[in-house]
Amino acid sequence: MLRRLPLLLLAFMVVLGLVLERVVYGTLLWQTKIPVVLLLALAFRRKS
Amino acid sequence: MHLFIEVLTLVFFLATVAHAGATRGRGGLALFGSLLFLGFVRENFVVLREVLYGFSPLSLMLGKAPLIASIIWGYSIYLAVVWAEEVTGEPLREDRPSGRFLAAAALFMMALACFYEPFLALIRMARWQEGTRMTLGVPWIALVGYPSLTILYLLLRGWAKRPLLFWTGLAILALAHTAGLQALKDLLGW
Repeated sequence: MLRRLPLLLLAFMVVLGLVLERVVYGTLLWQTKIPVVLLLALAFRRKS
Repeated sequence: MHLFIEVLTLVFFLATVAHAGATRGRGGLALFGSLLFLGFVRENFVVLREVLYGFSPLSLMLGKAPLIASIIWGYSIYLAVVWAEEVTGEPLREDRPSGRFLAAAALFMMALACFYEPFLALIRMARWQEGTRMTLGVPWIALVGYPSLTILYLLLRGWAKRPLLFWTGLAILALAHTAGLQALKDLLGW
């Protein structure tokens, strides 16, 4: 899990980005986050 | 809001530096040192030559460029390395990485470009040149710039073993990549 910690940090950054977009700017740029979410999911699906 | 994003990115950057130090030892810290240098030279060149994009006035600076712009390259390329290691099962080698590893890192950087660029435009932290072609707020040229800088950095790291050659190569890479990207953008009308 330690090995993947930076990827977890990025996942948190993506969620935070969505929250800021919605709360502060009243929008959601969700489409442009699909690639990074899919790639993160791919990494976490692999057994460590 | 800008200061919040700047400090948050700095915290994330320092966390990944700590991770590199803890999991890779001095090699990991050296990796980050070189990436910080690459980002610093590149982003200061962008500001001084007024190429590709500009920045809003920000609080934390490193030279003439915002600190966030310099550190985001190290943070992102390190994430791409970690991700490529996870999906290919290959550790980052000291010599030239495999084609599979480079392709994985490049793909991840393109995904990061899609994540970062529309958000930076929304919060008005960075603005690309007038007329830059985009889809959903993602500049097409960024989909070339992010992965190509990553691949070239990893190839240079594997090739240039002498410190003087490596650090000189880093500076040349930072300048040539930025100038080349602007030339390509102009050529393609992107």
